Amino acid sequence: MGNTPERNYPYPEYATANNAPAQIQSFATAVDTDILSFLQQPRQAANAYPSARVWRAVGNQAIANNTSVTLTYTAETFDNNSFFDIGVSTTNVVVNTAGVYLIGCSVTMQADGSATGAAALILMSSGALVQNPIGTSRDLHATRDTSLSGTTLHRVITTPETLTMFVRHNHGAGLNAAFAQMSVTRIA
Amino acid sequence: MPASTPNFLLPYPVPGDPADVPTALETLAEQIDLVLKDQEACAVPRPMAQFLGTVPNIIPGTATTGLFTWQLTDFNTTPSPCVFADGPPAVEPVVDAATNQLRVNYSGLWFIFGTVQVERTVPASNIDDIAVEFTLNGSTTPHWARSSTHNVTTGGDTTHLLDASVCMTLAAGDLVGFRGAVARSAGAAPVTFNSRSITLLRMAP
Repeated sequence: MGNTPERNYPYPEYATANNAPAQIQSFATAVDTDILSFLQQPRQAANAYPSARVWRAVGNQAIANNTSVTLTYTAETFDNNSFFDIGVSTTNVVVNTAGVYLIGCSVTMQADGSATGAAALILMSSGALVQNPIGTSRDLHATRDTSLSGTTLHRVITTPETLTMFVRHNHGAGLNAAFAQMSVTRIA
Repeated sequence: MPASTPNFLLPYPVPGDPADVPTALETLAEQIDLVLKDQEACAVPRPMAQFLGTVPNIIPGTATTGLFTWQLTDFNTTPSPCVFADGPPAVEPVVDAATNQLRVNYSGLWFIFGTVQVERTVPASNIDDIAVEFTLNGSTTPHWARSSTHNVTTGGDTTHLLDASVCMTLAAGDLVGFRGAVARSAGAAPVTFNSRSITLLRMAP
């Protein structure tokens, strides 16, 4: 028996003993398995890729001056691949399936009456080529909250990989982070 | 009687069937042809859409928030019939230039990204803060995602870009909006929002 070079489908060669039913069955079975594994199942999986959203639903988190503070979350609104286990960590979003991920994150820093300084939000990864794939910063305001957000594509090569967000500011005194959220969804 | 494979019912002869290889191969080839045609029909993009706002949206001095309106459709997929049986487009088509909330037609987790250009304001306008945020069925509660800037009077910049993104768990029929928010320390200066887009991708059931 021979096999096709790309999909490895079996076929009888001239020297192969004549057994058409078995040979046709082998070919049909190989095609059947191939269509299921490489067409139908990936297509179905693509409509339910690993995704999660975690957030700080209530309360504030103190962010000390000139200190990188990892943000904590109090709940998740979606998680279909065990990204977040609040019993294990309140900061870690763990990617358990390799791929390319679309990530959105945001945090709101509360004003405290002084406009001094700026704040930055940085997305951090425990692995990958770039360990801080996105960041954004804004000047602070005396009386208005400051909301920072970022969106990026990020490739996860080796799992598990942990994603976190940290905030840093140079306000001169501590500030509070209020609402924060991270959204993670695999796209490829 | 021919037998068939378990998944796609590809026929093959069994011992005892008439020795007719041409017919057996033709029957098998025709079934493979049909299966691959169906697979091709199923291989279409997920529910996703992008809408653009081209008409300036102005938050007047009497208001502090305003939903952005959408005038153009960049794309709005009709999802795979194999996953969503002959359903409507991902998002209810925008036919009214005043549309400011987008109705999704499929439940599940949606990744949503919005971005907008904001015109520079002058210092005398007393604008402290300009922000963008998402709404669900007209409300920003609970919070979804927000982005803001206080640096709206920089002379060298004619526009400021604000964007935000978030995953929302939506039901079919839910209304998604993207709005501007303005905080003033005094006065009643309007703020103009120009080119903008909102992209909605359904990622999981």
